[in-house]
Amino acid sequence: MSNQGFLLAEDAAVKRRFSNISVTDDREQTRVAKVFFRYPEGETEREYPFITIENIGIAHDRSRQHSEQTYYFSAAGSASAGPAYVNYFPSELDAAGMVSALGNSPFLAFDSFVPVILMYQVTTYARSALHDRQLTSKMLKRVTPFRRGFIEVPEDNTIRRFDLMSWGNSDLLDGEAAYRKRIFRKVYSIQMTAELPASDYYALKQVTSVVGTITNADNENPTVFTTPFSEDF
Amino acid sequence: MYKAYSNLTRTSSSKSFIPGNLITLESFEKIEETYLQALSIAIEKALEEYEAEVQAMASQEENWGDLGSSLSVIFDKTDFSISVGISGDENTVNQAMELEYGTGLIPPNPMLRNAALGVTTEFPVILSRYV
Repeated sequence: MSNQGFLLAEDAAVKRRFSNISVTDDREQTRVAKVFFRYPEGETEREYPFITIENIGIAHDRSRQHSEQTYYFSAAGSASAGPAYVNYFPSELDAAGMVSALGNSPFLAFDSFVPVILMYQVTTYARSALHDRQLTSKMLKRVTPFRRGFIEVPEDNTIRRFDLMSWGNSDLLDGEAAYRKRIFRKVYSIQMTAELPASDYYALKQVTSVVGTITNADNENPTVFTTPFSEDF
Repeated sequence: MYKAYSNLTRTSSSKSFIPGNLITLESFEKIEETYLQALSIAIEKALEEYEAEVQAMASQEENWGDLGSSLSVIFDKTDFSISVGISGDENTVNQAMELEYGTGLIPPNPMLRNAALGVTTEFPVILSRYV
């Protein structure tokens, strides 16, 4: 998966989630609702039903913030077993991507990620009450169920929370039809967890040898000291 | 104070007998009540500050403008819940809802939902100054 980066990867995941939602009626067996980012511009012909996605907010999620520490990645070696081992880079690299980024270096290092909440408004538009009901049913039952919402972001191979916070009825009168026809509209407010890298990743060189001298300053039993020493790794 | 609960009967029945000194138990309840009262006062003070912040932020938004002062943050003492709403006549509420969710012609500008989100992200920081 190409490394799209913060917001682009999340937007793509959200669009995938709402694609391929279909409705049916006595005139057409399957009508797949098109998905747009923001309300389609005037020149775009609107075919109902359709769905719009809007990112309406980003907030620092302090409750998920960890103490600052440096994270490490290595394909093998001591860092792999440590608590600071992380095998993805948010919205950009999964484990395989990290190995590629590693190249010939033994370790990658990067600062802690900043946890954020992304708020999305997803809106369904339908011309008929039947389509509106079908969309609502599918959305609440399968696409964004209460309590069990999650979404996969393949760019970094993470599974994120994707919680439906609220949904509401917000019907409109259609201006194109001289405000005589109703557009059935449902508004879903959804929260998605994400992380912002606080720094770029950088390669670390491995220590190859430690050379030093320990001095017996207090004339203690010299058998516990090794002087001088050189240890190769 | 905790002695009243040190030999608490481990049962799910609401009628289970709690051995211990009754006076100690009453003292514990009194402390709990005092604590909840103090917490309620702190939450109310912090909410006043948070509401002013939300209103100021909304008033700076292009479309919200004067409507910003209609935003209210409400604390329900019975279940310790906090909600964000809009106060005013029907026209004010309708106008606010159009701005909140958008109409197709205007994009959504979710001051209410962002304020509600702020109750879990920003409000605890304000509250920590009062408790």
